[in-house]
Amino acid sequence: MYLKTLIIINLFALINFVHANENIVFYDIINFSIPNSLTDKVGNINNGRDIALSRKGNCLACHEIPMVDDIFQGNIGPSLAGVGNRYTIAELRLRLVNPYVLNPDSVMPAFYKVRDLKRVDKNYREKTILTAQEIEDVINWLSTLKTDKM
Amino acid sequence: MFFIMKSALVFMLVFAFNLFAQELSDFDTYKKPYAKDELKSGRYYSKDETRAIEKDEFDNPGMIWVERGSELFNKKMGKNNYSCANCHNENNNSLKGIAVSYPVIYQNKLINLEQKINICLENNMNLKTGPLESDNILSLSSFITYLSKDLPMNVSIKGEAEEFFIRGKQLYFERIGQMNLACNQCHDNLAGNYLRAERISQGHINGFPSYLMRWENIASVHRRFQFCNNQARAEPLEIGHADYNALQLYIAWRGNGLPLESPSVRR
Ligand code: HEC
Ligand code: HEC
Repeated sequence: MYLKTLIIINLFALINFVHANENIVFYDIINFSIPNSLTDKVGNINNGRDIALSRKGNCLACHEIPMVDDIFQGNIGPSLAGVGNRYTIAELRLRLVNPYVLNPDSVMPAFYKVRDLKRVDKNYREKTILTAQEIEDVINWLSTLKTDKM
Repeated sequence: MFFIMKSALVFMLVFAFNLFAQELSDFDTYKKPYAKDELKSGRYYSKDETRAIEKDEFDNPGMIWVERGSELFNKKMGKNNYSCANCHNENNNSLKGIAVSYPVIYQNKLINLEQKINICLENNMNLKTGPLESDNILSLSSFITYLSKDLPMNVSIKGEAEEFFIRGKQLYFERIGQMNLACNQCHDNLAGNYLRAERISQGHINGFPSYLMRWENIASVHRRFQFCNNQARAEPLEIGHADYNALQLYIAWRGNGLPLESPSVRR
């Protein structure tokens, strides 16, 4: 599986330019990132925080966010502390929009995807988990997470 | 030029690897995610308080269903004025030990214990069947399951059951819902980790029917599947659906050997 993942990553690196056939807003993946904003409006950091910590984004289900005061934090994915140092906004955008580009087996859901999903509950069919603007809000908040203390 | 050659090479590699992976998975049909000595029931992952409630039969709320089931089992019902106990008692066709082998094949179909109870009510007692997730049926199934407490789970996937087993395995590994998750992603790969406040277990069903504190109610295996489907935002199937039985067979098989612990208590 590891090898397969590596090869797929390699493929993406080679092609370097993938026109994703997702929904609504089209985007290009360039060098493991999505450089262009999905909307015209700059993401709102406070909204982003609210979305990430509420049931909507539900990031705490899988990630620790040490600067948040909540004892029930998941540990399925890596801690989000300092994530703003590790990635650019463009890289964060890809990680939320479609993490499968980096890891096809990821447990992290693609927050902006409607195609190629099976047996989606009727309440969620043809809908993305977050809207384009919500993605922009969340990644702008993530980019402020520079250290593990706050 | 070099770029094209490199791409071609990568494509060939991917192709070769896919073939290889295909063969591997065929070969692996009967491979279990957990070896016998690695199997851990859900109890292992639950909180001390919850485990204490489960262990103490006076505190365990699931025992209410077992007791109610025992009363129903001995109650004379219908025109013939028969009770289940008339046909199934200690000396006569006892039901002790049967729960560990469910789901089973019955008239070319895979059925679970609740469905079997309905079949008996209808065919042998001339009674109306109850909805599978009703209090009466779950009480009877809790009682009958309890008769096998501590015996090792032991379902068969031989003969006619095999095709259902294959289907169940396929469902277990199928990514579904808006969250695009498969059962194995959590229960084979992440057991012991926390999904928010919940510690993910290996996902065995040796504790079912299981009392869920959040619902203050007993839940069948199929009800739990619906719940996990909901969490992945996938369309749940009906209780008693053939695919849920197939999934139940696969999951029971992968936990064969675990002692039956129903009624278990979970958060
Ligand atoms: C169901 C689990 C799950 C949920 C929910 C989830 N993630 Fe993740 N996330 C992961 C996993 C697992 C990884 C590790 C990389 C991988 O496997 O794809 C990850 C990786 C990441 C990364 C890269 C971190 C690094 O250090 O490499 C970021 C950023 C991220 N997630 C942000 C988020 C945000 C923001 C949300 C909510 C809006 C979220 N995740 C919700 C499971 C999840
Ligand atoms: C995103 C993670 C996730 C996915 C995907 C998932 N589950 Fe679960 N499952 C859980 C959690 C969390 C629990 C509650 C803690 C526990 O008992 O494991 C649970 C509990 C269970 C239990 C009860 C175990 C016990 O001992 O009481 C069963 C059975 C189960 N899941 C089966 C499944 C099946 C079948 C699927 C696929 C259709 C599935 N799960 C998909 C997270 C998941």
